[in-house]
Amino acid sequence: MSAKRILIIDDESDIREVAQMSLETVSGWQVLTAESGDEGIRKAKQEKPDAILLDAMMPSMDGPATFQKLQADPSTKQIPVIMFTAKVQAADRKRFADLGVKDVIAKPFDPMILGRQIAAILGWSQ
Amino acid sequence: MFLLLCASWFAYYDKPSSPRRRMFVEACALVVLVFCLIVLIKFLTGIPLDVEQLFLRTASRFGSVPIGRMSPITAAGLVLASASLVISSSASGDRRRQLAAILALLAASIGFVIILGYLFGAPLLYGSSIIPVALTTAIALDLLGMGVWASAGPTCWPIRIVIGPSLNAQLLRAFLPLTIAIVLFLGWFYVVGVSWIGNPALTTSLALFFALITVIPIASRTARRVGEEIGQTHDALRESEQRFRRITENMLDVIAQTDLLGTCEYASPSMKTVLGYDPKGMLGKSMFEDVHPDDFDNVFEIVRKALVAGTTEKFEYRYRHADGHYVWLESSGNPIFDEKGQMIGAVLSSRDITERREAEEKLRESEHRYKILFDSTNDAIFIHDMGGRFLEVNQVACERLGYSREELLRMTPADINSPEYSTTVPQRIEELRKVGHSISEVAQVRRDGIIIQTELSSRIIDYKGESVVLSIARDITERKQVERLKDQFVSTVSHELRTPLTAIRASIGLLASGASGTLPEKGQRMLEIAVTNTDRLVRLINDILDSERLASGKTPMEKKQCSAAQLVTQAADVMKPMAEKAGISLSVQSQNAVLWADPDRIAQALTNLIGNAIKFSPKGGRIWVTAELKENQMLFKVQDEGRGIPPDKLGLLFERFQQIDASDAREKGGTGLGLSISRSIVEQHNGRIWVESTVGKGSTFFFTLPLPQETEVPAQPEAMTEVQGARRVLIIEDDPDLANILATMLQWHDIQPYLALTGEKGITLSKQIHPDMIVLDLGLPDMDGSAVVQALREDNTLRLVPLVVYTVRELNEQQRENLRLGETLFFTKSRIPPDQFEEKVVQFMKRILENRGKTNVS
Repeated sequence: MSAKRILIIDDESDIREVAQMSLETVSGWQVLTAESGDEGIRKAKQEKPDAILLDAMMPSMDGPATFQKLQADPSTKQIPVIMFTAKVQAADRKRFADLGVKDVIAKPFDPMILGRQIAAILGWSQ
Repeated sequence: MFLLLCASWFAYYDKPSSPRRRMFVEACALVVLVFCLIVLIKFLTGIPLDVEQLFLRTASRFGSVPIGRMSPITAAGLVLASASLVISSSASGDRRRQLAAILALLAASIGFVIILGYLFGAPLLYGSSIIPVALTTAIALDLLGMGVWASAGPTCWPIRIVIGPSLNAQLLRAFLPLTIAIVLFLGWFYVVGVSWIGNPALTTSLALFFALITVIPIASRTARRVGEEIGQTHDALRESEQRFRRITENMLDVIAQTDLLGTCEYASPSMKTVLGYDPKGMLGKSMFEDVHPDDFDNVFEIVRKALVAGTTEKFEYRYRHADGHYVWLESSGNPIFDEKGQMIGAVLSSRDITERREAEEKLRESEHRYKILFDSTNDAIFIHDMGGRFLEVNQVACERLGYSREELLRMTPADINSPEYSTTVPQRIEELRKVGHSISEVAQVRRDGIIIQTELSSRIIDYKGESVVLSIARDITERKQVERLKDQFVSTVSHELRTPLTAIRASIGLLASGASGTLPEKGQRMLEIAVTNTDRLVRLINDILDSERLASGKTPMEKKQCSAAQLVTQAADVMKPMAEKAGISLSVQSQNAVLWADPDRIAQALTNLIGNAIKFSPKGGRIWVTAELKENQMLFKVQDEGRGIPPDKLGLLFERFQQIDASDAREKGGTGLGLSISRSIVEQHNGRIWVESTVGKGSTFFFTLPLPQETEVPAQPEAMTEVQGARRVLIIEDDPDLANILATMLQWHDIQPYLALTGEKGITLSKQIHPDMIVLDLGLPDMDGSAVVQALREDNTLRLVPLVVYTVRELNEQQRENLRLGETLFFTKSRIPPDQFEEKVVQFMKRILENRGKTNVS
């Protein structure tokens, strides 16, 4: 399996960094990061990652808004998005699922299994 | 003259009140009066008014009997008698009648004197010096006079002396006839005796002797009789007095008699017991003297009014007891009058009402206290009956809602609750009636429309002998606001805490897993500690959030049908690794039932309980997880052999952060929120959670979940009923009552009824539900039964549906033919009793289904 390219969109630089480290060192994937929705959308268009890990709560443009923009653009529409959030209430999960995201991964996450979780959700064999 | 007067008297005596008689009486008496007056005047003045000569001359023409001239004495007697009659007849006043009686008595006396004259041979007495009066005339005059006198009536003075119970009258009655008889006897005996014996002295002696012999025994007998009578009267009087005394002595009420100025003339013996005064000592004392100064004016006014009006009235006042304290009295007075009808005083009856007054005072005080309490609390208080009508509200209720008390008393709880709560009022009352008390949160609406969040604590109380609802409403608008802020705060803080934690957890996780190279053993161990504690911190934050949301009811339970046994197994499976790690055996036993619950949450509650049991069980201990059916409930049980819970901790166990031992949190890694979360989950499923425990032996945690009611579970999809072969019958009947009876009847036989009240509805419904059978009433409002059948025939799927037709009409063969669908049964309403109808319809239904079964098989 070729190395996957994942785009992490999160306003918290520490989270971005540990998630990146986790996916790079544990799963051996290639990681792109963006610190806002706008930057994320731009990078998604340019880089066409295999998947996007999208933080739900961000200033200015939040996760769902970013997701909707990604969906609205034909060039990014096909990229699977996994919501990355501290809100793990059933109601929130349902709300995100209704938007059309692939799944939700709860924060805090276990760095040792993050890659496996993503792979499982997207049906990638590892 | 005599005859005329006698006739007059007789007429008067017979019927004194008739006007015609009175005229006759007065006319006759007047004629006699005038005639005799003329005779008298002639005699006295010498004027020759010889009217009598007229009569004499007339009389002498008819017979040879010599008629003498009328004596002036006779004339005087007749004048008196006739005048008396005229007065008695014409006048009605007592004084006039009295005068008449006296006149009549004088007339009789004249007659009597003349008789005496004859008897004693005293010519002077019978007027021999003028014109002597004949004895017969005298007797007649006497009798007539007495007659007229007697008819004057018993109330007139001279008669009154003789009659009546007085001693005088009695003596007079006894001795007067005797005296008259003796006088008459003496006169007669003397006249007769002288002629017989000759010697006047002897005759007189004999007469006196006889008189004495007769008088002594008669007199003594009479005296004895009168004495006895007087004695009897005295006895009766004494007895009545004693009775009166006994009554007054034993009476609790004080009876006093006063004069017009209020001076005591009599006081009953109870004066001593009630007021401490000697009854005799009261005599001559003013009854007003010891009235309480504050009551004096009032009492005086009442007495004054009573004296003016002559009426009595009850009044209450304080009266000083002989020992100085005051006694409350309730008095009523009756005025007393003398013979002339003049008020001379009053009889007062007074009762000691101190106890009653004190009780009233206490009641007033307690009412006052209650009123203060009722009105001075910060909570609104409402009392309403089971029908919801307000019976009492307090000041706060009025102020808070902006209505006056009177306005509120015309309203109901529904009027002051916001719409979403108004509709639940009857339901809440009903629930309250069952449970007795409740606490709920409702939104009340002020007059100006502003919503006030209140916590309503209600209780059934007894109020004036009726079961009513007492509700205390506390304004929790502010509290609600605080709660909202807190929720917001908790939510924000949790999120803010989680973000750095995420970074920490991930960083140290990576480090610990050796992603950045191997670490020295000590460093590795420290990182593991950091990971464990980070995980605990994450759990804690999760639990706090969870617990907050559950406690405030903000997490809706996502209820669906789930299997109890599955939930138990699932929870046990999750906890098995932890149990194994701790060396504890976990056994599961479960009855199954379908629950209407949020499976994730119930599993969470179960895993919490099992987790606790594992934590507090010694190595090698056993844990039993069971679920059993009990009276419409599923009872879940988690039993351990741990150290148990001391009784004083049991009460707080389900509260947040209540761990038995403060060190538990660190040792066992719990958050102190598990049981609180479990309780919230169970309670949101209308269940109950509790624990039973013995220190040293272990604890058992229980919780119940009610089994779903039919209505709670959404209807099964149609395919299900198809599979189970539920029989559907469509009833097309315009009378809703009858339709419902039929429906109920069919339900008893496990037949699912559908109702259509019109033919048109019947047709559309038939097409929708494809009934197994149709029951059709022919008398429908919108269309004829045969038209319904016609419409059904046109639909291929309905053409052969079995049909029961019932009608009030008798149907002929042609009509029946027009009404046939599949197999068709006809009933005439009046011909068949309801139970038979039921039986026949059900039999018909069964037969059809059996036949269908056969067809399917073949």
